[in-house]
Amino acid sequence: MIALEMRKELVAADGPMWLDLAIELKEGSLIGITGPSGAGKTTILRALSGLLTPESGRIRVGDELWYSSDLGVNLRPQQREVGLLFQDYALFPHMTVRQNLEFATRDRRHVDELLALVELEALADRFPETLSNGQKQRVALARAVVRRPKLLLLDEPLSGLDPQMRRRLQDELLRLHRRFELTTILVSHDLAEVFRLCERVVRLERGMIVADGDPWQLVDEHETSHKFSFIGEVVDIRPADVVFLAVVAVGQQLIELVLTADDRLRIDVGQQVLIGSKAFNPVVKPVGEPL
Amino acid sequence: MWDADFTTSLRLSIQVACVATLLVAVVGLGLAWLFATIPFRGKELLDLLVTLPLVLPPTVVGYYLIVLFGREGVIGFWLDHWLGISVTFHWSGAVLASFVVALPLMVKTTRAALEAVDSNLIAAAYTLGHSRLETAFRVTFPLARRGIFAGLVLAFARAIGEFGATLMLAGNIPGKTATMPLSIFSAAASGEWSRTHAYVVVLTAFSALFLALANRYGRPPESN
Repeated sequence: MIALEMRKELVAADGPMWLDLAIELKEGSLIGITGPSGAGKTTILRALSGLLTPESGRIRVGDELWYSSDLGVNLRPQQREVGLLFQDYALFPHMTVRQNLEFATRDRRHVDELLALVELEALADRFPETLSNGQKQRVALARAVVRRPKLLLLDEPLSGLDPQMRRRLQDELLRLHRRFELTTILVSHDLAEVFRLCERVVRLERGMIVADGDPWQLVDEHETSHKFSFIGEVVDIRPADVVFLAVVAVGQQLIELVLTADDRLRIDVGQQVLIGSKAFNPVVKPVGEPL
Repeated sequence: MWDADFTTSLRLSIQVACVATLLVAVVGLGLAWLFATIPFRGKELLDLLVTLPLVLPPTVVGYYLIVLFGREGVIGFWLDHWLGISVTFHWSGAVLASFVVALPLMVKTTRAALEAVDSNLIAAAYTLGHSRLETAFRVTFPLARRGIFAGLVLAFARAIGEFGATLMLAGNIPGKTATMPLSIFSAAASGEWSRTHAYVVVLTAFSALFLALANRYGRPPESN
């Protein structure tokens, strides 16, 4: 069990606020933290990794105490065995891909294994500036897990990538998570991502936990009677007579939907939307057979 | 005019500037790193002390050095008494004077370069298990190398041109402490203009060459 309790004063755009929360995680679980920017998401990751010290609180990982304001315990980041994946990747520009990984461990065989796992062997001797964002992200991910951390912390890992690459990296992330049974915290403002990856989602607003539970519960609270629902991103909206036609990307597919004028007021291009339907009579057949 | 005095003086200048720059490199990098990375009490005071020679007239610096390191000085007395070392009227005095006036240039330039290194990279090195010192040598210094190099160039240039503090502490002894700038002063004061001329031309050429080298290798990476 991993238990975090912390209080920390933050300076938000509209003045000071308190990040004040308590979370417990099961070992080996993958939990998402979502919420608007400035809610304190990144601060939680930095406190867990020891890069900043809360005003008060306690961090316990298994039977190790990492931080306790009462007992005056505060392990340095070097002692905490965390893998932190930074939003801007934070790859060392003066080291090759392989050197970036070897910087974290002396175990060359494990480095080789990881490079193979994220399919980067061919790029092992390249410098980060010659890589695409998706490749950089895979290097950063491999580097974050190379020491087999007790806690893997991911800060907006897939923002800034195109949807296809994002999808691919999500799969990679799940693969690494399962392979090494890493307890993982994923910070993301992308609902679709959190839904796809996480067993449990915590929603943070102004430093407080406002929701905590099963991903579906979180969005679906008032709409549990829906037979089918998806999360997607609005790609395009155009007017058609008195209504609007919206194109929504759900996974790899594009779906066209009708929006009323009222819907249009609340929904815009680029927004994450929940699509639900009650009257649904789906046909289920093996792939390949005609519908 | 290209006599033994001339070559001795040139050799002495280079020797003093090189030793002083070596000391500046070690102490300056250490201090800059300390200032940039570690919070401690009295940081501002120490920074002030290190920087002061940059704004003080060199003769004032020289005076303080005499007070501290002269034969009757606070430190100098004990150096002489216990180790038999005296920096006054010795080329090591010229090194000390150059060191003190060149140090702030190194510290200021290097500190700025170290502080410009992306703090996330340093944080990443910490979470990957590396101590502050290891991180300094494997991440911060390599990434700030151009700034560190620029600091060294400035320090060397300042050291080779040092005059006032050197004159005060080490004196102007031909063949012993008379570096190029001091020899230029002596030659001009005694009206040996052709000699002065030769010294000036060589020192100017030397400085220009050095500056060209610095521009060549100390350029920021985006302009290659």
